[in-house]
Amino acid sequence: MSSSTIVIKAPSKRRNNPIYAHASEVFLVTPGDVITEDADYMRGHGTYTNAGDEDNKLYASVAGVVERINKLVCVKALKTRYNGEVGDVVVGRIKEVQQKRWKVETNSRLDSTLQISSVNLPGGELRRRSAADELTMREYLKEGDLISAEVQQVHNDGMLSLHTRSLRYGKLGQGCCVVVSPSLIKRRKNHIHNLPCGATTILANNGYIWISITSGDACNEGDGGFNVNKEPVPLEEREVVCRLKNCIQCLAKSSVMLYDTSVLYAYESSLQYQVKEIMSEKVSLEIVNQTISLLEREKTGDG
Amino acid sequence: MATDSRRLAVPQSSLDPKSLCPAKVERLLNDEEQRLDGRYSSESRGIYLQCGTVSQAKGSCYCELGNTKVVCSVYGPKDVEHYEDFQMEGKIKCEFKYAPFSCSKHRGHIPDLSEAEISDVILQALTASVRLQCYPKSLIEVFIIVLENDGSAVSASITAASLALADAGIEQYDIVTSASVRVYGNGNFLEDPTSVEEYRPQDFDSESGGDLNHGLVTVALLPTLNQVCAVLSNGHLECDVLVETIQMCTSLAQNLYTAARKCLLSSVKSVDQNNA
Repeated sequence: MSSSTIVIKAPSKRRNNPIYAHASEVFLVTPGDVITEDADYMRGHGTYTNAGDEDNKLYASVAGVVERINKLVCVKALKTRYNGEVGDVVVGRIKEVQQKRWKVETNSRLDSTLQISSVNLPGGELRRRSAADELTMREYLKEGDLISAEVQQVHNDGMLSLHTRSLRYGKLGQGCCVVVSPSLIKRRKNHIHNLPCGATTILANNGYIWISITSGDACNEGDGGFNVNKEPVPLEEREVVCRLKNCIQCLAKSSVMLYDTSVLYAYESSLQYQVKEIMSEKVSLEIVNQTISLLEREKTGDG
Repeated sequence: MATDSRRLAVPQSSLDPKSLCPAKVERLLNDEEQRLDGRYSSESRGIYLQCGTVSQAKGSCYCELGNTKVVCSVYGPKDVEHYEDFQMEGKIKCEFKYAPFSCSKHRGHIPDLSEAEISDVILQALTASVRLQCYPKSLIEVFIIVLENDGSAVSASITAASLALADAGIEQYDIVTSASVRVYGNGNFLEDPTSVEEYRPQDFDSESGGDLNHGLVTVALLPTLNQVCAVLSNGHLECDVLVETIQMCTSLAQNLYTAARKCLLSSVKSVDQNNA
């Protein structure tokens, strides 16, 4: 017997979606538009002034939404690359092994670097890095590996230096990586969450989200990724990871900010559906709407 | 001719059967001052623009100008591969290509000289608008493919490329819009020419009839700054005619600005965020 399922959807034209309700209030600009002619404003990202101009007009240089913080005016483009800040948690992919350092792709404008001196090598933290370590760099991290790391330094050309000198960071083992826009990640104190559903998510600031199963002994601290567990993952655990991945993609598609509470609420409201159903447009909208109302209820409850 | 082992072996050169027929001497304007497709000389074709058509690119734009169809995709900014040519300003790499099936004559897979020349003009237009000092050590790649060429492909490409850059969130002083005008004998200016109307060197001999002015002019414009950033002129034009043609192209390009802006705003609106 084939077990085909029939999904009955509402008409696709239906749009009782509260997400876009306030879209008309925002101030949208395209490159070359005059944002303000008032000379008092400070120019932020995405704006420029003409040096020769006498009237100090402020122009937009990207297409996006104008944001005003007191006297600072910025234009926020919706599809930007990741602009790193010191202390950010990032997930990246090793692109190249060089002498004494790795090149890491982190969705940033330039590739980030990970120096061999800023990783924890096996055998304790206080250890001299010898020439032998440089030769065995590829054994620890090779091209295509995913790592989690923290931004140590931002160079003046925008290049990031990373470090993994904490057991929370390091090579990532079995799991699932979702790429969303970096502007969707809400900045929080903590970006690595052990969710009650048994999964660990790294909501990295650069928009790369890592989902894996919480390993038994690593509830407090990881092992820096030295011992990658290659045991097959049981089906139930894989389903949890897939469900989380689908939920995060739903939220990202509707441009809901991603942080531990929103992900958890989406996960909880998706439990009534099968994992594969979450991807359908109707169910995905339902989950998003339910998540938003849960978040709003929490907000009013606090206030 | 260069061969490519990765592709199916098709005849290296093929021709539209129509081109084997003896060429009719066609006049581009009839007695009622109408062109072959029924337009008057100062009548442009409708334009269609859409951002975000190529999902894997950082930014993209699809442009349709009558039957001319162009897709532009932008990748980057990303790290430059070679550190020898280090510089503190960003670089743009621009590749313009006619799809093999886009013209009446089969085009090769490898860009030929005319395509390289058009790439240079587009690059010139884009360099004027992109704020390259914001992208040190980085490379921005712009790929333009003409799916169907029915005239004015260069101006459609320039407009599409600029919108694709804006869609990718790359900082620009202004959008670039572009328009073409065909000068057809004395005092005849055909706006937004089709491929039949585009200038070919042999036209000059066959139909000039003592008139010197025959050519095709494409102008790229920064509309809000009202600055011309690239001019491409083919054919034989007297100085004052060329000036007049450039002014004509400028005002045509200015008219495109509203459409281009609308397209960008609607693409921004559709991905607008829920973070009020």
